[in-house]
Amino acid sequence: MTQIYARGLSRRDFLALSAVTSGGLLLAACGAPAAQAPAGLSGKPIEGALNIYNWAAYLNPDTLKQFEAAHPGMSVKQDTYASNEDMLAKIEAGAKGYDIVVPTGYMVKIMIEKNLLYPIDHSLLTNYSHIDSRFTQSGYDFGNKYSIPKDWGTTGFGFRKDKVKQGMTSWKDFFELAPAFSGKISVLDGANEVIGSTLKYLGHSYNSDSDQELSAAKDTLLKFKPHVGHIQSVNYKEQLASGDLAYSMGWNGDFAAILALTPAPPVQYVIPSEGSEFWVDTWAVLKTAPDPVAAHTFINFILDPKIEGLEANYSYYANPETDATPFITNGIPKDPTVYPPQTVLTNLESNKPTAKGQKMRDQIFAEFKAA
Amino acid sequence: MVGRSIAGLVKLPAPLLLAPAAVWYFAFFVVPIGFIAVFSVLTSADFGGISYQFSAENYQRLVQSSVFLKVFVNTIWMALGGTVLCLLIGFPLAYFLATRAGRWRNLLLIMLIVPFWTSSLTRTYAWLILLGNHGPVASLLTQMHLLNGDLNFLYSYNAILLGVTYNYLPLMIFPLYVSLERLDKRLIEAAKDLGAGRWRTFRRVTVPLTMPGIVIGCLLVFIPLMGEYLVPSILGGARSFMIGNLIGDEFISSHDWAFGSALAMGVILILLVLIAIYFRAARRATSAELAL
Repeated sequence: MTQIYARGLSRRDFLALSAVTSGGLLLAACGAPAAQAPAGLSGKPIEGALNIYNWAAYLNPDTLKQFEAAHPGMSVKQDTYASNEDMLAKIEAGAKGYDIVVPTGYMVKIMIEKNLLYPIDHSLLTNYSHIDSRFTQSGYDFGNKYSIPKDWGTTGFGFRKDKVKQGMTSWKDFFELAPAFSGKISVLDGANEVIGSTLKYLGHSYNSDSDQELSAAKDTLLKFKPHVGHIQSVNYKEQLASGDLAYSMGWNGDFAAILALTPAPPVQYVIPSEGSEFWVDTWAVLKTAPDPVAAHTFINFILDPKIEGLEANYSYYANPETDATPFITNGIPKDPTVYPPQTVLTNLESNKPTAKGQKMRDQIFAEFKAA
Repeated sequence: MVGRSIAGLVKLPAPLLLAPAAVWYFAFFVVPIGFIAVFSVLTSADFGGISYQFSAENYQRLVQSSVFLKVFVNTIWMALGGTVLCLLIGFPLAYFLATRAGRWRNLLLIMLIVPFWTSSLTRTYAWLILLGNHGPVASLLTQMHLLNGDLNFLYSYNAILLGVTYNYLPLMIFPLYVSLERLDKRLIEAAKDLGAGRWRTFRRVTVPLTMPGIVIGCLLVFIPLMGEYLVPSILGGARSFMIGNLIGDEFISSHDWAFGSALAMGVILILLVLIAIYFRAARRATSAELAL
């Protein structure tokens, strides 16, 4: 919040800006020597600061250093959010000044429908060709017209092997072992993740909008609620690592990051056998972006496989570029928590609620939290 | 006398004096409440926003499900508990400051204000470190053999009570201090001369005469506590959800502005009723004490 403010240009700023402008245009020229910068973006003024509205700890500080070194005069600032919904609420409420946001696939679709995103100018993204073809044809944004894949992962849960001695493999374990670990359980603060997981436990689709199936999910959740200690999307990492939790719903990269600690806590990540969610997070440029050219420059910089490697080494999330694999260290590419085997992936669904389904999920989740 | 001469000098007409406040309250109080009242009887659009379609559904949903009523009740208990704790801690302190502090008084008053210079967010987060299962309080208690196992204090109703009492205590102390400081000491001497003991003097003279401070202090603490968002979201867990958090979620996460508005109207209504009861009781208590 503190980073976003209007300010006048001093002379120094102006000098810095002109440097950035020429850098950006130069890059654009490299990418499409014949085409020039496209009409929509050329001639737009560039500011010295690029403002990114991102999830917490989701961008490697080294990436930022390298970007700022490669583009002198450009400074990158970040604000963070804890859920797609929080981000949407703030952007819809008129938050100005952000260039780039990091929505998950389903949220990209909603933001496209709400006309909040700037169409991606592919001629500015020379590194786009590194992205694996399976990530360029996603249902939420076919052909990546408004969003560029950042990384991908799964929603599941992690448990402490020293506390849950019998082990856990399924949503059935997650819900049915609850009385034994009452208060030491955490779920994500997201209606779709919590209700989707419950639907999977009951043998339905993650995206069901059937009244009957959702009402069964609600009953299950209200029975489960007395045992839930925390509803959160950020702090579960630390609490599981310190042993304050027995098990916690969460995203795979967070558990991979816990396991990379030395000494590694006795934590295991589970993609539940009933199936779960597969998601893709993306870079998107806001329609209100003060500096769309700088935003494209930044995204193109990240798409360089070397930089993607840096990102994966930092976030522990799987990268959409196979070309980046040589640059990913620490055995991450072979870690089944980060890159699950294909047989497991086929069992997963992406989150794509209908309008009716979303409304019902929000209502059920409000009761779940209040109960 | 000074006041009169200034008024005589400037002679501003009353409407002019009231205009800034009136404009302010209209723009930032009446209009927003109007919006909330209107939104509460409309429908939420798909994926957020408001659709201009009349519906009483929001209020039906509110009263139909017992969980929302439970959140209201929890919040009232939390707000009452916090207010009582602030009063129990704040009154003796204010009494000390007003009557015994002597030359330390100003320093002590400043020390009450200084914590306000730090963001309440930071101060509330500090409790997470202090009272965590691996924090200094837990390890101290373990070393003293007073604690075996986890402290498990955080993320509970009691943790919220601690947090709100800590954050709101000065709001209680200052009105109490002002009332106690203005208290005519001769009346206390008179009570003693007439044979009243300490407790009786306190109950029959000090408390009734400082009632205005008590009333204001309690309101200053109770009203914001009914909408408290920050402390429960940091120190509370999944089992101590307050109405402020529910309303916040409706507006931010669920994008259900209509239902969020209905919940906000519910809070306003409850506050009006409780405050009416409170004022009546306070007035009766004061007049009864003074009449005796």
